[in-house]
Amino acid sequence: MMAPAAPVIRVDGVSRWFGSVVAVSDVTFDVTPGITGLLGPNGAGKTTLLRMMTGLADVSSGSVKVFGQSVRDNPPLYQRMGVMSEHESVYGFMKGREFVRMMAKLHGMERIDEAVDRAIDLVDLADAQHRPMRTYSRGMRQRMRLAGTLVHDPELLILDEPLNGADPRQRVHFKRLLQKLAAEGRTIVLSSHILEEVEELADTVLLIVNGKLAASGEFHAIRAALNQRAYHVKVVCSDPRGLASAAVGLSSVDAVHVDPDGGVLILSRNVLDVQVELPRLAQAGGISLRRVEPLDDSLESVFGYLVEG
Amino acid sequence: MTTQLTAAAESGQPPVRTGTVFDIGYRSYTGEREGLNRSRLAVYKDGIRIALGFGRGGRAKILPWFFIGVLAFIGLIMAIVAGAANRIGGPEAAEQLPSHGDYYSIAAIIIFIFAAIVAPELLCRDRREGTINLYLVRPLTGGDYIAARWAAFLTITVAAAWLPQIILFLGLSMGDPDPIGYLRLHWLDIPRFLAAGIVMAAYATTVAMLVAAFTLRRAYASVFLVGLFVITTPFTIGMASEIGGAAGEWISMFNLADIPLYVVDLIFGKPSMLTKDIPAVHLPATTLILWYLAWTLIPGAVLWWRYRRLSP
Amino acid sequence: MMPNGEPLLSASTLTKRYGAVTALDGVSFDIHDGITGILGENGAGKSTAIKIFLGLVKPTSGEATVLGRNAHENAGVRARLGYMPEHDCLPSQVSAAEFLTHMAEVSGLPPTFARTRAADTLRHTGLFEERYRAIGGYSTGMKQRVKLGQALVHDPAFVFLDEPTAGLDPIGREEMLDLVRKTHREFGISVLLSSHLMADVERTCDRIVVLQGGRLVEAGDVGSFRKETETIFIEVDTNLDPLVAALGRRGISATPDAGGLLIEGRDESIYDGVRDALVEAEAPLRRLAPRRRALTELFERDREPDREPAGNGAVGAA
Repeated sequence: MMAPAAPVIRVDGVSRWFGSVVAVSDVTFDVTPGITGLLGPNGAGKTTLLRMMTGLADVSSGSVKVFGQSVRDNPPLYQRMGVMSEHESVYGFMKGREFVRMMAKLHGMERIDEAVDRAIDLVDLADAQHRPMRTYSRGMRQRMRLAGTLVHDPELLILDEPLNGADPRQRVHFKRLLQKLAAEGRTIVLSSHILEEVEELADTVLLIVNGKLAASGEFHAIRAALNQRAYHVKVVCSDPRGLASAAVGLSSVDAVHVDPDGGVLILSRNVLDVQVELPRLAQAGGISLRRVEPLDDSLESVFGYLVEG
Repeated sequence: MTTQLTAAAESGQPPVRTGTVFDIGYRSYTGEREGLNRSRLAVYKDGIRIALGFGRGGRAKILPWFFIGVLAFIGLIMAIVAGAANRIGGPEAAEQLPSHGDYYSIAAIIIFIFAAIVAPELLCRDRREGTINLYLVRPLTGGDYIAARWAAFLTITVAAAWLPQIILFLGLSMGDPDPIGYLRLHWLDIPRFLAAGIVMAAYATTVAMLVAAFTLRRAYASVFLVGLFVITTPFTIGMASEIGGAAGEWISMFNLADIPLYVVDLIFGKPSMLTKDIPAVHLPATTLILWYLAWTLIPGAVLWWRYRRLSP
Repeated sequence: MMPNGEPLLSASTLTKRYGAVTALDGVSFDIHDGITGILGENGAGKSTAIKIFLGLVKPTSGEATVLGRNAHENAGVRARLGYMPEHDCLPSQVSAAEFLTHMAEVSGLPPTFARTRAADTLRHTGLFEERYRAIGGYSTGMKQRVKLGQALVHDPAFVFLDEPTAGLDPIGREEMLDLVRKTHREFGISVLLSSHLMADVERTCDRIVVLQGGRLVEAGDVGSFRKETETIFIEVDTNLDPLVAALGRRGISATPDAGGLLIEGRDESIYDGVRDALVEAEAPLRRLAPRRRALTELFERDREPDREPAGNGAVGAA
């Protein structure tokens, strides 16, 4: 393996409290290039954490370093960052292009028009750029805001629910855009509640529950680390009862349930054992396995498990 | 459907014990569904509740009840002073004092401020918070909604306009050494002040609601209305006395706070103490009435039109 | 309920023009009992269609009926409809109990019944002690429940739900989708669900209707759209290479894809071959399933809207 590169964002022992309310509690993690998903229930402290990561809020303890520097009161750092927060109104009277130009000027860019053209093309809004933004649909406004966030070609993008109001086609387009940007070596932190999309996009995830970091890292690895929890797998086969009675015989199986439709549900705390034994049992019994599906494999299920505690 | 789970006792004397599980799942509604009038009535009742601050804690009640209190208080004071004058100087002295016909010119500004502050509560919030959209998808049109809200506020304003007059009348009749005699002499005052109260209330309600219909913020509506009623007064009076003559009469017609008062004067047959100095009083009765109707019916029509066209 | 077979909602060459813009262009479709998803890009005509069904907007031409009647001419039919808007619409100063009671009355229920229906509806949508507090203090999840509650309190035959999971965190979203399913399966109320999240639609809807550019481009069962392909997907935790080799020895070719393997061809004998290969390679089997198409694929390619709908179950031109 190559020597690990310095992390783009380093959050170290960060806490934030407001009087007696502890919003974020002793959180430590690194963010590296690629797409990182930031997840958590409403009120878990995600927004506070994001604000601290972008330097908009101060930490109560610990430190946040972006590109190795303190992010607080460090305007030059914003040249390398693009931040898009969840709720932000735009000036309705402004034309889309004007808005992106304004963002470019705020970053003190030169050769503004080129950059603006490029950003607007990236979000595929060239046709609408000369109309005032109040005529845009919500999804279009979000995309134009994204163009404004990208116009200065930042290495680091922090996006909070960027897809609010986006329709299915816009979502597909946006996903491809993010993947392209990540492939170019950028670092993207994406906060979202739509877990099936995060599962598709993110290389790593950070899960915040009640102000604490409940899980971090690559999703499949997190899932594997949770193998001690109850594991449900649904099996469709040629002989449900036969498979069910064989499965009950395994010491790693806690329970077996046979559905009216013939599906066999196996409950176990030893994932690996079931995964290895299932084909063996089927082979021994001359049973044909048609479908094997883990029911708690999705990011959503992992999320639910970790949030419930 | 109830499911009876019966645990029967063994054969012999012990009584049969039963247990029942009741179905508290979703039930369809098979009761009566009343028509449009129930919808309108619901919006009307809600309007009354909002205006008087019911169900929203103590703070919401302060302003409306304060104004109602002030209006009633003025009537009470007038009654007490008249009673005292009667005792000291006799009925002739009492006759000189302001009475029913004068009450509205004295209290007009209070009624208008009351409307300015409370009427927007009935309209602005629903549009600002988006609740109006939930009304519009019910068996109710925008027109039904505004009619019900208007009726609710009118009811309250009429009641607030009648209460002090009733207090005044009771005060005057009981302060008189011969109450029955007073009643027989002055009973005409009753239908007069009832009608006058409606004239005042209709104007205040309609104008206040019209302004509230065009802004989402209650405070803007209230400030605008107070400005409208309070500021036009010195402005037009000043200009009217400067210019004088027929032009002056017309200019003073634009004193919005006085428009219904001319009709009140006509109802009582003579200009009140405060309006007799206004040049407009000299204009013919039909002009004054038509002017009032223009300033009440046209705003009402615009108000109706505004809400009929609302769409989520 | 509707007499057997008759649609709950029906659009017939429905057209709506706003000046030069055509929001709906001769659209025809029927919606029956069940949970139907209505999909389409922003500006495709979904909200216009819904507003026309609710009787709030008059079509330029064509006809739209709800429960057999035209809601624009006959406002009374709205007493049997419910609508859960996407945007904020709840009064902040009133409690949920009071608000639902009031809304029930506005829908025509007598006051005593309005009160009891409100209480029951709050229970069914999962609002308990908080129902007596002002709505302004509620969390997003609770507010969404109140929004759904006011759509259901008068026992409608049909409800329109517009982005019901907007703003909800994953757990709230799952709870809301449960409520949507419950609305049909337990309460017997049919649903038209408008959503941009295909996963929501896949999890709740039986049928879908897709609009684009003001025209109908798809209509059919979700099951048919997501029908299984001829490809099997296998995922194992380790020993992938030995597995590929073992499959090869049995004449089964496998291509790597998304952390697993894709195997073409689905005749019966393949399954046993796969099973035996798994045992031989000692590969721990995590997943074995036929690939299903996702609804998002409807939006992944550029589509030309057809004049006629693509027909029940069939997907339009590839």
